[in-house]
Amino acid sequence: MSIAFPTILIFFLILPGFIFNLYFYNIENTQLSYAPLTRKTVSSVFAAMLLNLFGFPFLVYFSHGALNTSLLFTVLSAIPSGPYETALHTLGDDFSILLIYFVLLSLFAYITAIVFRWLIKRFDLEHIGFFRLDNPWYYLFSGYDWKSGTPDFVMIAATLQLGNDVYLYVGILEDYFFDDKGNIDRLVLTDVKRRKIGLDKHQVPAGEARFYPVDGDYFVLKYAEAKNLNVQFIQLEKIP
Amino acid sequence: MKALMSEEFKKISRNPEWRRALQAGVLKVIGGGSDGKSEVITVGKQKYRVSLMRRDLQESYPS
Repeated sequence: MSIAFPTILIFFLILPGFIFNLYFYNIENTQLSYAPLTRKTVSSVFAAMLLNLFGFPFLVYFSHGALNTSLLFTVLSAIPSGPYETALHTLGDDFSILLIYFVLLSLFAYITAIVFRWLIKRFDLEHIGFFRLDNPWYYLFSGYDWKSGTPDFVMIAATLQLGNDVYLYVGILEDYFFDDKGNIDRLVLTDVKRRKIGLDKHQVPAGEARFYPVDGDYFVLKYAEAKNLNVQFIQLEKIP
Repeated sequence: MKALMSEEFKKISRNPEWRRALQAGVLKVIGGGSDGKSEVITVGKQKYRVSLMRRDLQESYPS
């Protein structure tokens, strides 16, 4: 008990920091943080410190001073003594307040992470390196970094080897997925056409189709199997 | 994750005339050309200039 309780307490104290980290880097239900575990842990613990620094005065206020820093340190020290026993009893008396504190602080961490991410997007702060996610593919395929105008969609051309032949696939990028290291795992294309790479313009008589459409609504392209990838951005402009 | 797709494009991409333009090879013509190359297509009563964007990216990307 004397060892387990401080451990549980520490866990609940740093949990909001991990929740913040989890949702701050969550874009469209995908984690876009590929930092090493050590860095993630350090930033989560730092976020937990800030969150507790903000929330702790409220805990002291609503427990009428019973749950305070002195009590917290006594419990965390886990030294079996009179003050420790008294602190545990006090904690037991105000356990519901402590529980509500952890729940509310975790909720606050979740909301703060989402609001911060929204603010970064809203005010285009990702142009600043500090706020930028460590995933250039994300910015490339979301067309984020164009200086003037915004593309309307992304066109992909990829070469794939099938048997002894190399084919060129061209289609409109609909979705893309990352692996756990932040590299592209697969691309989902629509309106896909393909041709043998050898059928270049000058080798096919004018008027003959070089490409032929691939049947189906979605074409899943495994990035690892692509020899190379060409990305083009297309813009639509209404003509009055 | 969802790739970049403007509302305007989502709207016209469901139109059979857009699909006809695709079959006619509008993207191949543009995609095979140089920056800024464009084609005009008609979807419904609206005309669109479909063009390949010029390279004015602010950041460098993985090769």
